[in-house]
Amino acid sequence: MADRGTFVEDTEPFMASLFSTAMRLTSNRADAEDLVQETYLKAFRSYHTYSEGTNLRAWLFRILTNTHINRYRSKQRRPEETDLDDVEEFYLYRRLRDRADQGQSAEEELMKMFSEGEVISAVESLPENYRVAVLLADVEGFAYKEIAEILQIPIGTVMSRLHRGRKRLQQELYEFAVSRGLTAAHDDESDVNPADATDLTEIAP
Amino acid sequence: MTEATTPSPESEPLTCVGVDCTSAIEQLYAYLDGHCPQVDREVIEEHLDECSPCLSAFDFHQELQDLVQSRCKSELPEGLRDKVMGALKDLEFQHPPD
Repeated sequence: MADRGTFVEDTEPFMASLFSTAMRLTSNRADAEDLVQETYLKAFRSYHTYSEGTNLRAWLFRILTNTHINRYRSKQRRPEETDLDDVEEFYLYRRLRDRADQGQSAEEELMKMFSEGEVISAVESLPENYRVAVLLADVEGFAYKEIAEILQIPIGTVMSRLHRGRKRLQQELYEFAVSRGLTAAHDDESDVNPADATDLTEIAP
Repeated sequence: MTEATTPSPESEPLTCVGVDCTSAIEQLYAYLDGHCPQVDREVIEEHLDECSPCLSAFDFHQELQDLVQSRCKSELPEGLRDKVMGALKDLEFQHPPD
């Protein structure tokens, strides 16, 4: 059982990362601030239920995501669970490797290629259930097991949401690259057989 | 007579066709996410040492995760910490511990 007297000291180091996630969930600074504040108030009220020595950061993120779901989902009128059309495996890599073939390393170019606004826009375009999984894994670095506990879903569902969310994210980023003329659109995209696309040997240049 | 079709870039024979490549790429995200058992990690790393196409794919996806992580971080707004601490004090005043 945790001591309320140390609540501020214990939880304050996580406020910045909770705020970052809140920003990407709400897409709005005022709502993100409210979400963080409500998370802290709820956590404070139930701090006696937190078992000291367990994963405090995951516990706080669980309160944050639950609060967001309960508070904002109806307001934003998003469907509870949105499915994604399947996207080809390694969508962005397949297309940007052409750029690498032209003498520019796709790996080195990525950071220069996409602005902060574009990456944020691509992440925020993901349906909520996929976006949360991508944020917790790729931004916050939580393990699959921790994400399963935070979102209270099976680990297989975590992996599936991450997989599909990341594929869609690659597609969204590619569209930014095309719109800025950083790479040419592939005319033969519709010819790619999804079954072939999962032939993983195809990623080789 | 059926006209021969030109193979698309995706269906052309590639240099990276070994079983090791398929296995490594299938585990790409599990590896990057730290979800691979140590024994599998070692096998993958040995493979990456000798297979530059697979290494390129792994590097690309690691870079992409780094990109998403760095671009999605927001600075804590000035004043939010004090606002939250103020709200906590009010709550404690209203509901002091037993």
